[in-house]
Amino acid sequence: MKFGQVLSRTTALVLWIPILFFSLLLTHNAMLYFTHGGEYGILPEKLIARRDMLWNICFYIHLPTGVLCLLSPIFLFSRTFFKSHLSIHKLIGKAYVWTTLALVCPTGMYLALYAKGGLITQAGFMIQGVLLAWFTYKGHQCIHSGNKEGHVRYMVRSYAVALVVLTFRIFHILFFIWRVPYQDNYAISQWLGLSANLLLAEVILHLISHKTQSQNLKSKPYETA
Amino acid sequence: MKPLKRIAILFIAVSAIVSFWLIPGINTAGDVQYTRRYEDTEKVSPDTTRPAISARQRIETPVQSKAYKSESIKAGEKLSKIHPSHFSRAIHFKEEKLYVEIDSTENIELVVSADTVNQIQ
Repeated sequence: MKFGQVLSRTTALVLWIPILFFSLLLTHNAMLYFTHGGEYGILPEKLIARRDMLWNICFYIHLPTGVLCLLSPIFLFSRTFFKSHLSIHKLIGKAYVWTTLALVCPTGMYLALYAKGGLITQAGFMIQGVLLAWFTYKGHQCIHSGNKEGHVRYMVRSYAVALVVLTFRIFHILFFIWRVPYQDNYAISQWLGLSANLLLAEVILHLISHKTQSQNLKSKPYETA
Repeated sequence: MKPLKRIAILFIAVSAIVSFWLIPGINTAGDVQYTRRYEDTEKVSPDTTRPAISARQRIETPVQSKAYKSESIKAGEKLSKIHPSHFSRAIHFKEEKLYVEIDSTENIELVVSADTVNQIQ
């Protein structure tokens, strides 16, 4: 195995293992909301929001659909799975797109109206919802028009925005330790999570396109001659 | 927009958030701890499967209340003391300011006088 391949696989593992681990932890926590009878997690402090029936509906829709949105891309980005089971990739992909557009984003944006941390955090969650919907929609449009490269690009961005739920929580705990004031902590974790994830997505896309270009040049050495 | 230009803009955004918003706030929270209260599911819950009982019996039966546990993260704690599950439950933690409790002024006076007596002796 070449050094480049080893580096590429190591980088992939370094990225995917924490994503998988924290996604499963978050899934477990999300499911506990259905087993603890309204006394779990953030619910006891959401006294005003819980009086709003629509908030309750959105909350209990957002939890399972959010889990689907968080876990399904793990299969969708798997190269081996894509090559061997294209039809299942399409099926899960459609489920991801429609769940995200029809359920996760609208419910998440409604929940954002009651988010802790003031207007800045609420605006951050709103923008996150808009970006997630936009990137997912564009990714879907690209594959419909046969633009595979565009599809990959927009879906990487879409997943990066979806993963803000993980980075937001990691930053939030780190900022507890670094003695950042509680209200600022919420807003900074949200905005930094969103910006940092988008930055990481763009860097990954840049590296992928760079790698693809160099592979194309290697495979067609006499084309320019 | 070119990819490198997009990366540069996002890098500036991230750097700006860190340098103008995060760094000035570090170490300003003081002595606080963040606590999460949660139901102790290991304790036996009230038996809901037993047959219906009369109103008189129901009054006499002691009501089992839910037991709760709590876990805390102190500001400035070492990263090694943070459990992985804390990350996924980050938004469950609420701020708790730490205060030194003094019962009464009499107690303080007593302590001071006892120390002073010891020193003199």
